[in-house]
Amino acid sequence: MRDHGMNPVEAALAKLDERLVRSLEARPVVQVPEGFAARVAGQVPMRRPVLLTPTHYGRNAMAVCMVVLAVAMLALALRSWELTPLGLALEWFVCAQFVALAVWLCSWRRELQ
Amino acid sequence: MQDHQAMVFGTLLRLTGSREHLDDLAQEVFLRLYRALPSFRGEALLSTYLYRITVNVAQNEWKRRRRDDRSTVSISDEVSGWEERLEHPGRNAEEQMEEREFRLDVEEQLQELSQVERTVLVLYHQEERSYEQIAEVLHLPIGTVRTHLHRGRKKMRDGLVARQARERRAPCAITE
Repeated sequence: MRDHGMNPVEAALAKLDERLVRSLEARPVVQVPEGFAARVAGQVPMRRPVLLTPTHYGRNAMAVCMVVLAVAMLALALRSWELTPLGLALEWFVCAQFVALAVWLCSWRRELQ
Repeated sequence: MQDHQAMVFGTLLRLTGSREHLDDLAQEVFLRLYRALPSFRGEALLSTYLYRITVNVAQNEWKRRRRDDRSTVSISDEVSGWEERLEHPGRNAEEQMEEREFRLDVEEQLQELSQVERTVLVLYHQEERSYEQIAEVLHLPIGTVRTHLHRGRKKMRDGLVARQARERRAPCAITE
């Protein structure tokens, strides 16, 4: 017995504590209103889908650069007999840039597919 | 949502001590949860997160009431009668009535406590949360949670003792 060895006041307080804890542990019965979940779901704001318009700025810039490089290569090729070693190096450099851009464009198109 | 709505309603009812606006408050809890879900990183349990929101909504309600300076409606108003439904059917009427009165006293004493003490008591006893979970919900150290729990229970016990003493004196005063 828990009350054993307690004076009456202590025993009464222990009993009161027990009742108090029992009352606190008792869950209040609540009536969830009919259709509560539906009501809450109706209040939830609809999420607007994010509209992403593709701009293709990069692709356009790449195309312009390729055209410019092609013109530069053509101009350099027409005057190839006059070219100094520096001019030749410039022609190779422009050609390499053109090839690099062409590879990049191809890989990018493949990713899109 | 249906798994948690009873918990939200029960906790809000005990924390606010009133059935007034209970539906609206519960709705607010779930809407806040919905809004907060995208930023929920799964560091805490969803239930802990939900308790935190519930406590925040209850705190806002206390603030609103303080502003409005309105008296609270008892948890055991005529519509509910939840204490009666909790009674053990085998008990005699006198015991049941005594138990019901005791529970009403407990509810009154609960509403006399500070907000944090009441919240800790409800989460610990009614919702059976651990010290760690309560500390996480309330952003308090575990030691502070323990202190609030013991202090809250002691205040309630003292309040109940004082009330019983007053009630015992009252019939004597009438007879005198």
